[in-house]
Amino acid sequence: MEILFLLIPIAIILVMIIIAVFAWAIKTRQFDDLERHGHDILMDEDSKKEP
Amino acid sequence: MCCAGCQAVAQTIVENGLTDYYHYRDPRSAKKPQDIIPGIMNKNIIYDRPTIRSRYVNSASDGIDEITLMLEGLTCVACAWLIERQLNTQAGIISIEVNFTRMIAVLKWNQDQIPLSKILTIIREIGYVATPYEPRIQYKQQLVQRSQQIRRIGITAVLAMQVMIISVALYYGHYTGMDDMWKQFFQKLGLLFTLPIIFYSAQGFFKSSFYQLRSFQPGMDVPVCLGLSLAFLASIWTLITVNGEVYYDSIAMFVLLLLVARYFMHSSILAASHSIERLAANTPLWALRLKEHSISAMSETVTAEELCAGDWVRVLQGNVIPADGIVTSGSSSVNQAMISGESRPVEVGKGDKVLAGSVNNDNPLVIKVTACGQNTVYCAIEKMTRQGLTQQAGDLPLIDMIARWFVTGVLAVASGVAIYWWHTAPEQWLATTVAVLVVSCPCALSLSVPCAYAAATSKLIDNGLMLTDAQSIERLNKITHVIFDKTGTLTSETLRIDNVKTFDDSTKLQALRLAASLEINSDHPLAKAFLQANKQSLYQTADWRYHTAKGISAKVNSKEYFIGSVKFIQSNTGIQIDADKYDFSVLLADRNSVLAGFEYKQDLRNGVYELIDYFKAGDKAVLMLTGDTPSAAYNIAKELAIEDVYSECKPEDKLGIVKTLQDENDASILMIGDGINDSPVLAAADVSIAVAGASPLAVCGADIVMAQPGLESIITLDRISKKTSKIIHQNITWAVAYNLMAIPFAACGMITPLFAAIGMSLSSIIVVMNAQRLRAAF
Repeated sequence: MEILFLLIPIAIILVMIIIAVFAWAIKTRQFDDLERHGHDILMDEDSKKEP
Repeated sequence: MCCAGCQAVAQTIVENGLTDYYHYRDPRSAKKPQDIIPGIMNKNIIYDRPTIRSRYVNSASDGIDEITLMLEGLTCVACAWLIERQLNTQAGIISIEVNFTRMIAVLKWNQDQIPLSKILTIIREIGYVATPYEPRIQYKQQLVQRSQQIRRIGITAVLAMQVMIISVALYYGHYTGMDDMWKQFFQKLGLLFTLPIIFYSAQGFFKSSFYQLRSFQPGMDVPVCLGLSLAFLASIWTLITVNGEVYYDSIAMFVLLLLVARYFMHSSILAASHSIERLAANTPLWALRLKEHSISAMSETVTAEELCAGDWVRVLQGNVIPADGIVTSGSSSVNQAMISGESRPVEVGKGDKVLAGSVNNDNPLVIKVTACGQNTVYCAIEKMTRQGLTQQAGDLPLIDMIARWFVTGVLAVASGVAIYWWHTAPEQWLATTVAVLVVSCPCALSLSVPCAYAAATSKLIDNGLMLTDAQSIERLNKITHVIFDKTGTLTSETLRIDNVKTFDDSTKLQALRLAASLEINSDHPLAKAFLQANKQSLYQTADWRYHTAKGISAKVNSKEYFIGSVKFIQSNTGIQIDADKYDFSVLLADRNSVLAGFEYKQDLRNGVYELIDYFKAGDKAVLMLTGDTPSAAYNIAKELAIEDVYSECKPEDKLGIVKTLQDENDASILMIGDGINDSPVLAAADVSIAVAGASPLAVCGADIVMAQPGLESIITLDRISKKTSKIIHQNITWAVAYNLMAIPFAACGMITPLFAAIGMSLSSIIVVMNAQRLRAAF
């Protein structure tokens, strides 16, 4: 059972990482438009600007 | 079809027998792009002017400007991609990001390299209309709230999962026997994960219940917070005394459920807001200001705000008059329907007054500005609307009234239980009291109303009705008076040829064919009516001429014909017209005699009869308030069997009538309108509906905005609101009954936390499912 003293801190660290990633995703407005970006992979991405 | 790609897609769909797609897709998204507004290219230039730029553009110090554009004509995700790709090839564009859900784009660019007007024109050229816009403050707040809610839900969900894992361990240990050391370890761990839930996730509930308590109006959030804090404090007490139960799982699930319920309610209202945002957006008025005070002077494009009293302005045919003024040159007819409610165009000539916001129908005019900006009639009406909106009395919603009683009741019972157990079995008093509070935690009660509102709102969106104020559904059931505006609300924009009489031996159809041939080049609404009435091919015309005094002349088969008002025919042909015999609004004549007479009338909107019958059957008083002339008003009223008619009302008169009804007769008023002149009344009425095509100001003042032109959806609205109110009552009854049933058991100490949690979830699920019945109805 003592293994829990190792596993639980790992779980806590994972939770903190998940929350940090989630907060970052919201901050960069990735939840603003849930319809659009699923289609991005289907669209050709041309070179952004002519030199 | 917007492009070859779409056509190929449509063909594939039909060929493969997948036409069900057309049944299930959202018909609102299939709206055709709007017709090109004449002069839209020139109009873009005003967005380069500093006064306008300061309103819409955020300028950073490094020369990069940022603006939000409202896009029209987006039909699918590919459109968003097309716009981004097209603009990204232009020099000077830093970035463009199209948000398809909101149909807006955030653009960053360098004004020195590429002016905004050029960008707008590029978007226009690939088939979309982009207009700079500034979101309403209300809408901005809703968006901020939304991202806050998503963050709270996400974080709470992650934490709640951990808490539940720990709880399962504790429950398991409860039955198998667990070391006290491990038990305490898991309890402390639970506390660690619950702390952020209490202090971060549930922050909103604590804040709002604090405000509710401070104003002595305890609402739903007060019992929620009370339950949360007592469960939390009891768990802490367990930790200190090393004896008893912890309630972290109940806290976590409770907060998560509540947050999700509020998010759903909020996002259905936000969906309605997206659409309302486009209707309420006010594009700036622009004007052609003459550089000198003479009719032939050069003109420059300026915004309406830059005009001063005394300026001379040219108003082209079909344009909106930018300021109140006096005509100095030209004669035309102007449509003031939005401002005054007068349905027929008003003839104006030199020296006549014109109002900002009305539309110039026929010929270019030069006007001398007498009032502009804040002093125009339009702005006076706008001010009245604002006042109405702020003064709107906040009726206490049903749920808050129940919550108030419920809170008091639960508190009384809990203190009773605490005192009883304190005297009989002191070691159990805390556990039992907390059990009572957890079991009576009105989870189902607090979900009952938001769920029903969310289901109703999305059902209404399906029916083309957008809600700005969710509680107006509840108010709609108490309506006693229904007030209609006439022009634009009961009647539609289009005119219809109603009566044709010929005075020679030709048939009515021949007369219509000739009239339509003459009218083909005209923009006047009447011309459209003729073209619609005529089903035959048109004649070739020659020497077509538009006369300023409302009339047209042209040659058909080298014979000259005239069409127009009696006055026009008289002055151009010299025929003496007997007013009794030729009592028609429009006459058709050749050089020698009158050939035919036409009478036109305004079409009624679809579903008007059904709607009025429906309200009358429901014992509501039906009234009509209009700015139009008595004769026009009574004609329509007679046709629709409306007895109470007030005509020639100014906006303040309409407001006065409504206020009197509300104050003296204790009436609850539903106002249905469209024009600028209706907006103060819309804001003051108990419930207000702006019909499709309403002016932006009217949309701002209304509780419900219609997306489709037919009025029959108001019947659906009333039915949905009745059903919603029924479901809310059922939900509340169930939730209260469940809590009342559970409390006695908890008070006797018979309910373990596990059963309390199961019961709470079950009762909540029942409430949510019941609300979903709204979506299936109708």
